[in-house]
Amino acid sequence: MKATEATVAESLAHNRACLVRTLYFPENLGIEMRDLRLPTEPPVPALLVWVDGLVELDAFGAGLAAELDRFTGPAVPPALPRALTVQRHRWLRDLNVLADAVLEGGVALLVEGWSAALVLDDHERIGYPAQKLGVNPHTDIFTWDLRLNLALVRKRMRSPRLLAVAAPTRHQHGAAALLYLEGKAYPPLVRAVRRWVRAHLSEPTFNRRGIAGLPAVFGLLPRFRPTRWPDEVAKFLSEGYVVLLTDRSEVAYVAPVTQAGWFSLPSDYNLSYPLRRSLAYGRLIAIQLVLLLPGAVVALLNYHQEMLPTPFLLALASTRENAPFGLFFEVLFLELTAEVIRETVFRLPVSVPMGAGLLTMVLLGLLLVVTGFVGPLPALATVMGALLSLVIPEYSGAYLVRLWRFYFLLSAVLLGFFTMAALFAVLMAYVCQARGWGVPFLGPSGWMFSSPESGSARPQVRKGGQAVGKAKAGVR
Amino acid sequence: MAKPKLAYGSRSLAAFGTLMVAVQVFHPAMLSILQAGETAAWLSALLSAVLTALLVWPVGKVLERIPGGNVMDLVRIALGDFGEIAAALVLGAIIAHRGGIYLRETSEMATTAVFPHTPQTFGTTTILLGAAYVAWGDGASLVHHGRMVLFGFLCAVLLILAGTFGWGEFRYLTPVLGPGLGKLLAGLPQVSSLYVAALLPLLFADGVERREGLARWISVVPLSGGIIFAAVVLVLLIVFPFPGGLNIGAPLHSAARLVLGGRFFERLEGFWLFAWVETTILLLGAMLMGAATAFAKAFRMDRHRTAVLPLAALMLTFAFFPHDQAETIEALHSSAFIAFVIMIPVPAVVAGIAYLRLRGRPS
Repeated sequence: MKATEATVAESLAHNRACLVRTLYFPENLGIEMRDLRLPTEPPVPALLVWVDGLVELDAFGAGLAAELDRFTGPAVPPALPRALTVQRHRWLRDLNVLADAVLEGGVALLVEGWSAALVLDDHERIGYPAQKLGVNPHTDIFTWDLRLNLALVRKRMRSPRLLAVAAPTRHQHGAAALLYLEGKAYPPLVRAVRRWVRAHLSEPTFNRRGIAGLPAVFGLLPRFRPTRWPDEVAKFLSEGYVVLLTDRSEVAYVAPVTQAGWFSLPSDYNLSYPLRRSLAYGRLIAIQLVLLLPGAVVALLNYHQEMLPTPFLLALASTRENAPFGLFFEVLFLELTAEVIRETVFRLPVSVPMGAGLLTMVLLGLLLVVTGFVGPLPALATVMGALLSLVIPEYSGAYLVRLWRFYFLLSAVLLGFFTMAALFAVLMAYVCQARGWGVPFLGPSGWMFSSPESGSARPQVRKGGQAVGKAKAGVR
Repeated sequence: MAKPKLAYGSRSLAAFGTLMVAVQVFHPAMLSILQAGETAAWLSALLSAVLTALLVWPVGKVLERIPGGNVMDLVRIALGDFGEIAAALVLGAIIAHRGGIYLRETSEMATTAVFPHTPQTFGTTTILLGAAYVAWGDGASLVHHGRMVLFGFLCAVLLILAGTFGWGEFRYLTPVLGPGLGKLLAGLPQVSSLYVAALLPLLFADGVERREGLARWISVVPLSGGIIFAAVVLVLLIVFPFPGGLNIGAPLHSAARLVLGGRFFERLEGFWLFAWVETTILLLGAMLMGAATAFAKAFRMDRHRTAVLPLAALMLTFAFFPHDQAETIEALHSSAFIAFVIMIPVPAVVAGIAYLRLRGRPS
């Protein structure tokens, strides 16, 4: 927040100027200021300030504005609240506190000649509970209305430093807004995203292709991380990310894409540091198992049989005695079937818990094993992989990991663990090199050494940006 | 937003360098320690680490005065543009040769120990393609990659050591001074050839933004690598007693065969293929990138990538010079000393000349 030591003055122009500065009006989308004249004798200029979306416009228009229009009493502070049908009101003298009250959903009324502002607190209306299926306790979800989406974010994050600025697009009727935390997000990152939006956000991207699907050049990773949850957006904003909201889209796009952003949840903040770290490592191990399990089964049974005890190996071989396909096709068949089941469950018109999909996989796998169509070890690996892939909170992230496991499966056919290790090295090199908007994808990966460039996700986004700035300034 | 050149810290560089040095525990190059030090090979590894650290420290100290500079900048300051071009050519040749031998050796080991029916070309090409991809990136990515892998690598090595420790007998460590102190010291240059990879952090020092303490962290590279070597050699000596242990091609891989993970995991060496192959790819990638960066600096090229593929082709050519595994190991040992002299003591001398030239100038 810009430091304004000012208190509410009798001059309305002064108060307006201070609020404009504090709330970044008018470039900050959602902040509304309306001039009116109280119909007293003589008429007195007044100013209403509120956040669009946090205050229900219809109720506001029909109620408060009409009451103010009818107000003919003496233009003195005690008279006005009595004339309005509001339950809760308060008087504020500090302009910074007043700005906070507005961001919390209050409607501020400033009148010429008054040295205090009236804040009406009855008008907060936002809040659409929607329970996401699964383990993530999100309570709100974005809608198709940009105005409402902005309000949902502001409801979660009531900081005057949260800026929502209009981002011009190539689409005539497509509105977009960039959200970022002033002082936290790195300005070149904001400028770069804004430039990109202006250059690339055209009608087809609005209507057909989507935005997150536009990949970075030569990269598998997308430019943005999509999310439908305001609490996630608030978490990203507080860490210095930039968020793009577009009209007619229930998805917010977060830039840049980092592993910390992809594999963490807002609820992680509620955990103590050791728990948070162990959870992060747990997810990392789970991701690696998802990647490697199907390939490892093929490598183990085709190339590295010495790793299994002979009786166990013989038992496995006997279960596959009548299997119609080779091991690779068996695993491939199981993995593809699992993908189809997962996708079917995900796309059903009625919300079905992911557990139902898992149960289907288990039952189907059991049937296939009993009938001798596949061996038990590939079926076990597939079900385990499906279960473990649920630890990745974000769908596109989980999908990418699941896609890469097919490459590992293919590499395992070539030369077992040898080619899998080679592919793993290439994958590691790729993720180490991958950058979104100049910020390294791996970002905070100081697992052993707390070097200046490692650390939590929060400084990392800025750190990448700072490095960009320094590189441009010719440090290196 | 333009793709930036990111910086990294001295500690990241040290971690990366440690990995580059320590990777060789999986390779037959380790045998040179056993040959020179006999039953005191662990001591030999430590002493040669100290020797190498003393040689790289002055290079790091002079580099601290050159922001954004690496060892090639020292060569230019000391010997001029012509000297820099000559150094880049020599460095490229040595790295391509050493890399080629490592490449062949890894492929030979994999063929001998795990996949007896696989042609050499498949193994070498697979590893080289991975290494070329690693080298295609930038220095910061490589350093971060190395720093991350170091953790897994250390876990893998420690697991082998812990798993095989029970098979050993401490009496095999006697006589404690092996061939005697004189022979031990005389063999140090031969053993120090294992530390030629300590040159890599000097080549990648240009990305270190804060130069304070650079010399200290660069000296840590051979020291920490030496500790890892000493630990591995100690366990190998008690498990595969000297001189019989010299006949084992890849001692650590053979040690991995002894690890028992209970009834369900009898021979786990397949797991260590991951650490072995991945770190080798990283080492070769770093060598390729290091040589390519030196070329790019010397010939004023915009990007090091231009030199990556020609160097990779040269590396592959060198990989197929030896006829078999025995010749590969022989080529490794015979070129070790020359490579060490050119890559460690010569830069120290060059750093001394550069220091004299820089004396009196502000850093």
